[in-house]
This record gives sequence, structure tokens and C-alpha cells, in this order.
Amino acid sequence: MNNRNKVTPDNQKHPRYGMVVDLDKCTGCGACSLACAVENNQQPATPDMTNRTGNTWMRMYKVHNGEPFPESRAVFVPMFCQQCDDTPCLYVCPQNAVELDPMTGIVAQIPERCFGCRYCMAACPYESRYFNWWDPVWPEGMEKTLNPDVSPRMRGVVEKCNFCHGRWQRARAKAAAEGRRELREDEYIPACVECCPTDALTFGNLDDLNSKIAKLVDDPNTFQILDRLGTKPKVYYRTIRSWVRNAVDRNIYSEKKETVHG
Amino acid sequence: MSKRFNRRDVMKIVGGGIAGMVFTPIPWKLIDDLSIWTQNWSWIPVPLKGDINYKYSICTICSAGCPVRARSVGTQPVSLWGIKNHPVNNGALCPLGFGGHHLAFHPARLRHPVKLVHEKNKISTEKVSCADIISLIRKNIESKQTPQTGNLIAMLDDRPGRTVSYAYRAFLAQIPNGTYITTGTDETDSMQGLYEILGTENQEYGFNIEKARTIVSFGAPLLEGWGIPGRMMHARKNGCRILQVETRFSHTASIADRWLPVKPGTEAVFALGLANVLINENFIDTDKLSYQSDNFDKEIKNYKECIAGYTPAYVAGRTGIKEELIREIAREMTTETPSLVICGREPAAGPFSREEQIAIWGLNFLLGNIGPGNLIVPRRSVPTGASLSETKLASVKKISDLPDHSVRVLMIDEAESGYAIPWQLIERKLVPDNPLVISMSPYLAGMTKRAHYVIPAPTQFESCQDIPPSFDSQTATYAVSAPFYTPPENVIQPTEFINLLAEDIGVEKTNGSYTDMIKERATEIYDKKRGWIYTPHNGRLIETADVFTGQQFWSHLNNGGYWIDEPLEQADNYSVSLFGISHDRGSFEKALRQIDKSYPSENTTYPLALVPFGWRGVVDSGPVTPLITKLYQETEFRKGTNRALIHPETGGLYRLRNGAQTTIVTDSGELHVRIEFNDSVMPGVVHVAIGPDQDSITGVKQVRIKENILSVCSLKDNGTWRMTPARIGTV
Repeated sequence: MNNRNKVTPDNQKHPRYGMVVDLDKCTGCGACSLACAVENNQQPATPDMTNRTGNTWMRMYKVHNGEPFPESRAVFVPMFCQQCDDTPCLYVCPQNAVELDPMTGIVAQIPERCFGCRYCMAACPYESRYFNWWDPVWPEGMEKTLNPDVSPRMRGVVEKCNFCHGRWQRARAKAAAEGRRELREDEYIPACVECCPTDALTFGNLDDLNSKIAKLVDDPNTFQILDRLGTKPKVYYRTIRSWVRNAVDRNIYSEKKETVHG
Repeated sequence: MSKRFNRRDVMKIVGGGIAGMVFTPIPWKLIDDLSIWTQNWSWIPVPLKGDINYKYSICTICSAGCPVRARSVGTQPVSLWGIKNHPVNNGALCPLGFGGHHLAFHPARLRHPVKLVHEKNKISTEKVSCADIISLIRKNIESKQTPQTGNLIAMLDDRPGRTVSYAYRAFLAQIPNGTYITTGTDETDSMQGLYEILGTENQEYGFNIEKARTIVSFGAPLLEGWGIPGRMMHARKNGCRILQVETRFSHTASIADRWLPVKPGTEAVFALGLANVLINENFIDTDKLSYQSDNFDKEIKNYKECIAGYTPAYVAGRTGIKEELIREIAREMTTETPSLVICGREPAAGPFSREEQIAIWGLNFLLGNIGPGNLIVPRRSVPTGASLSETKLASVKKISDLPDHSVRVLMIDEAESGYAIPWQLIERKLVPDNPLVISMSPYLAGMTKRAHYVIPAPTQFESCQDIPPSFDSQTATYAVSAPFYTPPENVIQPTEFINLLAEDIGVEKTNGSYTDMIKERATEIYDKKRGWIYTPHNGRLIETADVFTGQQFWSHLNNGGYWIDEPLEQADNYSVSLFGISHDRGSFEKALRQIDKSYPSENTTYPLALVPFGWRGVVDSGPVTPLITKLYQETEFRKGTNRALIHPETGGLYRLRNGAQTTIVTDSGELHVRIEFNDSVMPGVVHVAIGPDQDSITGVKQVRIKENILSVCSLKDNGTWRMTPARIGTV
């Protein structure tokens, strides 16, 4: 473990942000995927881009129960960086381009340091990292619609969900301007959480035992994907249906075998 | 003494170099600098910088009219968000809405009037002037469109009810053979059966979805964008149960509380089976219902006799749903109450026929859902504005009701319904010799690709647009989509074009500019002093009567305000007829027999049932944000155009492998598709997807018309194409 990431500059207790995805509420509308792309300046696909080379920080999966017609059932699983506490991608990065932020617990990707070796992509068991195969190109004029808080990444670097870090910085700046060091619970939420029409996504400080998310994490129906790998993700999933829990793990694992992005 | 440079020295230098390499930062720094240098180029876009501000407006991508909050740098929106707890949509936006601010920069955007030159399926554009197009229309009107020939000059508007729609109708009423048409392929068309049952054309009805505990949906994509999407999402969040009656394992079906996969074309039979159980097991409240029909006893007796043959055992055989399950669903509809039955449609397939709709909507009467305070509630119409209410308007016709080969000049309004429409449905209405098709669209996409000339219209947030209530809204509503920026120089507002045309052919123009017309409509609403206006910047509902002036009301509307009418306490007189007003028992029974025969097919040439599918707003019809690739091309979460889903068993019969390229053959032709095996597909059925217009979203330079599955679907006389007998051909 890289101890540098355990050090906090001010020795204070900081939040440890996480998310709970309620799979029983998700309708697979895809709003989170689009809102994420808009918020984080992800470029649209070029004509030759495929599902293996696309760049979608918030990726939707439709996971089936494995039963044939007419017993089929399905669940929609939003899959994004699981913000692991025990972070495989961090260990393998030769460039220190991956950091576990001690102030937030967020796993950050620093594109300026990344030189595109893609070790982190191989190490990530959740397939949640994406490589920029091409220069980011928007249709003429559309670059005006880019979010001013987030820099577009260049070709040849890896990128991933960072819980909308730009929003965290904005919220911190606002709090600082008001003379506060700590953020209120509703002051910082990622774009996907803000846009979810069914409140399937809950975001907050996992270490705040009074927070809604901490209570959800304690729920016996809440689980972590591939928890047997010991990566300690800070993204949890929740369902009351046992088949969903089994199918999600199985499906994500099989996706891993079938499609290796990049 | 001389020292010789020996092999040992070489080894020392190499060894020292290697050891040094480990400790010196120089090579690492060089690699790092090289990677940074090769990754940063001047063409990497830089976001706008400036003061951030927030503006409010309304999304106009579809007819739902969702309110949005635009985070902007100066005048340029950089993201759109829903407005939390908004009374109209509960703050939800669909994925397309989040990219609404991209549309002004869409790769398929047109910024000048153009002539489209079609050559071997490729399309090129030539710049023309607006005057050229007007003169061409005038010549057509003068020389060919005469009462003797019966040739029509028609305006196709897929979103009636807007002020621009009334302006078109006012214009068309003044010219000989002027005809205002809608495709009738959107959700409003699925309401026609309900209006038939209610026997009223003037009274509008909406749905009190929030009150429903159970919704039995016949093919409506409830959780994928039906009506105002946020309402259904909110109902679901609050525990509303969904029973989805649909052949396809759609997104809604896959997460519904129950999926009832009926055989294609047997939805109405299933509805009649439910009605049979409801009546014969005395689940209906006859005392309550008797007030809703003038001749209730006779009506229910006739209906009972009519559906007597649709016993659960018979319906089970026809639909493939178990007999006991049919009884169980009927019981659930009366225990998990209130329960609402919705007749919808798959966005890529056509609507149900009128008779099928009557059979399905009729369940609501049996459940006592109709009337003020119930689940299907009457609502007022939105006034048209003082001057338009005094003007003669062309009547609204459905395109399928026009005679074939009758339209000489067809003008197409830019606003799309979001539902697929086969071009052949329109094409067969055009005269065979040199028809003229003009599209007023901001984009060279969807139906516009078929036009001869295009007048570039303003896109979302470039001009003032009004938003009439969505078909599902339980009260009348009205809002104005205020512009954020000015459109490009040669872009023309459709009403402005119509005024130029009116001036040229010597008929009356509209009263003032388009914005004036919308303002006049808003003033009339204000003058009634009814309802509330929701102001998004402070989240307050203000009584209309408390707004001091009409100007202030207009100002609220222009700042994202949403007017919401009071619920209607009393509906116009109506008398429910379970056979619909255009049928008697005999003709209804005859129609049912026809429906009942439609599946399973005994056609050995075409043994499969072809059912197209798609997602509202993304069915090759019009522009969507280029970021929609995140859900299609980049993840395949949704299926792109010409993906054919079949059960592996069906694939085995044709000796196909998963991923094979093949053709789907019907009576109308054949189409190349890519086969995808899916265990959830009903054996004997092939579902073919229609996705976004890939050329236009990824900015391909050569524009083409790409055929999709609609081109081989059989169009029935009533304008629907829900199911087509098909077979799988060879590559």
C-alpha cells in the first residue's frame, strides 16, 4: 500500500464519500449516463468507435436472471468506478497518475501524469476505466457547451468517474467563501445523483453514521460487487431480490472476460 | 604508464549506466515530457470562461414540455437540469433532455435554405433562397392544385396544439384544397379509442397517474418515456405496481412487477379476457357505473354477450398466458386499487387499431376509472388566443384518412413526435408526378432527408415556442420555452415563412409576429384568472388571480414559469359506449374476429412475426444530442438500427449463429440485419431495432438515406404496422 495516500495534510477527520445504487429503483433510463457525459465533458463517439473503445464513465448494463422466455427478468446496473479503498489501479500505475484523495476518499485520475500504459485498466476488476483512443472532438461549435469546471482530457490517457470532482471543488470554494470548512450533506452530489428521476442513487459520507447513506450501507440487502476480491469499494448496490445479487456479480465477471476495453 | 581501455572498463560503464538510470530522473522526465508533449495539442477544446448564471426555460424536444434549469456561461447554456419538485414533472429529465443545449450545434444542422439533390441514395445540398421556394409553391398552387384535380396543399404537423399549429391551420383555411394533417402516430393516437368510448371529441381527458396503485399497460413504454416521463417515474418511486402486457421483453417489461408476454397481435383478446372475468365474476360495481352510460343495462348486457366467447380458457389459448394467471390479473385489478389500464404503443411500431384500443380502454369503464376525481379525468382545453379564436381554421385530418396520390405540395413542420413513421405512409399520399415536399426543419435528418427543399427553422432555445399540455396531463397547462440565444442569420421561423408565402399568394397573414401570437394566447389564459403559475426560481405556486398584470404573467412565463389549471370538477355530458361511437355491436364483433385471426400466422411463406422496436425520440426520426452514443454505439445498452433479436430456438431453425448477417424478408421487400440471439424473445418472433440516425449524430460528410425495418413493414389500411409476417432470408 502506498502510505502517501493515507496521510491527511491537516490530521483532521475528513469525509469518506460513497454511493449506494438501489437496483430495485433503477429503471435503466440512462439519464445518469448522459448527465455524467455532459458534466464531465466526455466527447461523443467518432463513427468508428465501438462498445470496446467507447468512453462512458457511467455505463449501463442490463443483467438477466438467466431464465429463458417467458420467465426472463432483468435488472439495470449502472457501473462506474467503485472508488475502492484498496485500490488495484493505484498500485500498478507507474506514473502516480492515480491517487486516493485523503480529503474525500475519492480515487482520482490525473490525466497530465498519465502516459497511457493502461496497466490500471487491466488491474480494474470492474471494467470502469476508459482509454482515450482519439483526440476529443466535438461537432463544430459544441465545444462552447463544455462544462467550464472540467478540462477535456487529451488523447492517450485513461479516465474514469471521480464522483464529479469539479462539483466537489465548487462546493468547497463556496463553503470557504462562507467561512466553513465542512460541506453540508446536500451541498455536494455528483451529476448522476442529481439527475436520477427515481432516487435510485444515494451519495454521502460513509463515515457519518447519521447520514442516509450510512444507514443504507448497514442494510442487509446492500452489497458490494465482487467483494470477494477485497478491493473494498465505496460504491454499494442494494436489492431485495436474491437473484439480482447473484446475477450482477456473475454478469460483471463474464463481461470482464468477454470485453476488455482498450 | 599508459592505461588501456579494456573490456572490464566497458562493463563498468554499462553497469554504472544501468545503475545510474535507476537513480537519475532524466529518462523518466523525458518519457513524461514526451507523453505530455504528444498529448496536448492546440485543437483540444477549451471550455468557455465567464460568470456562471442560471436561466429557466422549457425543453421542446418532445411534447412532454419538461421544465429545465440551464447553467450558463454568459448566454451559453453548458448544462441542463430538471427543477427539483416541479409540480409538472417532479424535476425529472430524460437523457435526451440533458443534451438539449447541444442541438444548436448538431452536425446535421442546416443554416441556409437548401435544395436536396437525391442521387442513388446519396443526398447533396444546393443553397437556394427562400423566395425561390415560395415561388415554386405558388406555381404549384396556381397551375396544378385546382379543385378539378383535387390535388392538395398540405401541412404535416406532428405536434398539434401549439400556436404555430393554429397559424398553419389559419393559413390553410384560406387556400383552395389547403389541408392540415397529422401523422397520428404518437401517443395521442392511442387515446382515440378512449374518446370513442366516451363519445366526445371536444372534451379533453388526462390521467391521474399519481393516484393509481396498479397500472396495467398494454404496450406503453411507461418507464422509458411515456407522456411526461417524470410523472411515471415518480409514481413508480411511490410504489405504483406495473403489469406490462407486451410481447417484447422491453425495458419496461423487464422491470415491471409482472410481464405478461402475449403473442403479438393478441393484446385486445387478452383485454377482452380480463373483461370477461371482471363481468362474470362480478368484480364490477354496477351501481357506480350505471350513471356513466345512458342505457347502462342494455349496454352491459350487449357487451357481456359480445365477450362471452373470450373465456380465460379461450384467451389462454390465443395469447399464451395461462388461464389461472388471467383470472389472477383480473382479481388484482380489483384488489390492488385504484388500477388504471393504459393503451400505449411501441415507439417504432404503429398504434393499435381503433377496435383494439376500444377493447383495451373499455376496461377502465368496468373498473370505474372515468370521470372527475377518478383516474381518467376531464380537463379544459387551452385557449388559442383572441385573434385565432375568431379565425377560420382548417380541420385536423390524419394522413391515413387522405386518399392516396392526392397531395401535390407537402410542407412538413420541424417538430417531431419522437415516434417512428414509415416514409411510405406519407409517400403514397403524394401525387405520382413531381410532388413538392418542403421541410421546415433545423436539421438534415429523419424525414427531412426525403424532402426536396428545406427551410432551416430555429432549434431549441433559439426562438420563443409555446408548450401546450402533454396528452397525459390531468389538467390544462401552458408554458413558454424562452430563447437563450439568437438563431443563425438565414434561419427562418416557420410562421415567418408562412407569412411570406401568404403575402406572395395574396392571403391574410398572421396577426403580428409569432411571439405576439403566443403572448396573445398567454393573455387570454391570464384573463380567465384561473389556476396557478409555478415560478421555478423560488419554487412557488402563485395563484393566477394574484398576478397583478398580464405583462407580469407573460414575464413569469418567459422566465420558466409554468401555468397549471385547476382540476375540472364536472365533465361535459358524456355517455360511455363500450363498442365506441363509430361501432354497433355487430361491427365491433366483426372487427374483433378480424383481430383474433391475425396471430398466430399460418402463412408458411412468412412464418415469423416481425415487430419493430425503438426508444421514443431516437427512432431515426430526428436530431438527438450526439452524446446519445453513450447509450447506443459506445455501450450497446440500447440496440442500434437493424439489430434483429430472435430466440436461439428460432435461430436454430434457420441455422443461424449469433451475430450472423442476414436478411429479413416480407411482402414489402427485404432488409439486411444483424442477428442477435436473446433468450427473452418469444420463439417465432423477430424484433428489429430502430436507433438514432447514426450518420447525423457522428457527423458523416456524405448524407444518405439508410433504410430501416419500417421500409419492409406492411402498412395496414388504418395506418398501423405493429406486426408483419416475415421470414429470414439469406445473406
